[in-house]
Amino acid sequence: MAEVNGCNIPEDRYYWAEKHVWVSVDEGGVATVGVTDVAQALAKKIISALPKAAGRSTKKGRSLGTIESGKWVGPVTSPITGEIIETNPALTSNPSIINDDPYGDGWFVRIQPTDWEGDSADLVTGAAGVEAYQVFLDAEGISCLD
Amino acid sequence: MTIRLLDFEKVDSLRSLAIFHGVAYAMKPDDPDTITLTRPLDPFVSIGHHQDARTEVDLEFCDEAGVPVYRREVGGGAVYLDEGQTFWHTIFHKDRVPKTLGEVYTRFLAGPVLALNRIGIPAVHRPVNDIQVEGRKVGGTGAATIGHSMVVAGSLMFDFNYELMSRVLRVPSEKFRDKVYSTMREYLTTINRELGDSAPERSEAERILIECFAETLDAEVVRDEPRQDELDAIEEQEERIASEDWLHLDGLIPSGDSVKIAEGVNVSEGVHKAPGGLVRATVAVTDGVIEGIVLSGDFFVEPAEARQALQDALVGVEHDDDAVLRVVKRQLSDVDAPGVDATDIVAAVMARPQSG
Repeated sequence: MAEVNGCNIPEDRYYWAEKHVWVSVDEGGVATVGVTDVAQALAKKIISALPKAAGRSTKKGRSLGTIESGKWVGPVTSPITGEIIETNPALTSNPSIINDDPYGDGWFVRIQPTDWEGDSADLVTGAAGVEAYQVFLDAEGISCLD
Repeated sequence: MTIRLLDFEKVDSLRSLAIFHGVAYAMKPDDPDTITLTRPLDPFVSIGHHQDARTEVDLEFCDEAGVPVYRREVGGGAVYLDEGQTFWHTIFHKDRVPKTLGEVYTRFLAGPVLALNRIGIPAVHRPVNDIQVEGRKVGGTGAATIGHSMVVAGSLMFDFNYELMSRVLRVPSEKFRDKVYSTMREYLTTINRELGDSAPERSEAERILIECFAETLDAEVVRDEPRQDELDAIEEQEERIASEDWLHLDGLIPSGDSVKIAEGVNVSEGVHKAPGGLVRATVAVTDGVIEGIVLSGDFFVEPAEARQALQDALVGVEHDDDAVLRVVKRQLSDVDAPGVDATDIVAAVMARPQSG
């Protein structure tokens, strides 16, 4: 686990820093996607989350659904192309689980990727990924401590 | 810096919503930041992005009254709107706005607050996103990321139809509706209520608003016409917003029996089944303190006046389990309430509204 500007940025995820989304892939090739600690800190307490339904196809850069914090609504951007195969059922009754555990129980959707190799090449991961995320946060003046 | 003003003036209600969605979706990184103004010609109900239309709004009433119901891509609650408001939207590229929501609201609400001050209303920005005058909210605001834009939405609220606002909501009981109405009357105000005969002409207030946006954003605001791609996007949004699929989005859950009136002001209704009967509590809470309460249901208390005494005793008490329990226990000490004890009353009173 790495902490950057007060934000938790685990090394074992792939990130699209500008969109504040993470993705990880299991042994079976299924990708889990969620928003980062940075996103939940910026949004404040999430009061509603509405992922698009399982079975829908998605493209990298497209919206996977929306989250609402009471003061703001915005999309969760897909970091990869593929088919949404599962949405997190816990978000319905407890959307603020995204705040409490953005990399664990607060995941947003699971996706069957169509080109993980290609899509992940544009994402950042590991120690270098954390550093790249830090560069972005510093450039934008973003901190989770505000 | 130059900001474009698109003043659409009077438009039908559907278009008034479609305009800001369309302009936002049409924005590309190099397009200019834009402020839009619209005045709806006809009344409508606007529901928040994640609200369930069937459980939040009395759709049958709206249908019979000819009041359309539309979902917006901005959060918050259902609201009845009509020609009494001028809507403003700041539609800025998301890379050209502050990163935190608090800063976004501070920046974009400064103009509307200054405009209200300039027409004689001592309004202030109460963070995160309320504009208030002496503790009462004057117009609602919200923010959303739409396409490449950060949209901040608000209104110059000249008039507000409190009766129809409370009527269009789907509420658990008429007592709840009455409480929503009276709480709104108390905590929501309008330009005309504040200024009476000295309220400025609508067009003059709009001119002042634009002047104040220019001052507070340190920019020149230049009137312009929408581009063809924006007009096309607006038409596309009209079609989407008018569709049943968009109104009845799948996967939404009811938010519970709670209506947020202003920052820190909620009316909620809690129901608890006690052995002695159903306990229903309609509670208005302001900044964590019970401001009004009605206890109903089919439970029995003797003497009958004890119910009113309990309600009176709870006004001014913190909306907190321990504080409520202390008062209820004291009030019930000499009261006969078969099958209902203090914890049953507390369970109904403490049914929590959604935060936000």
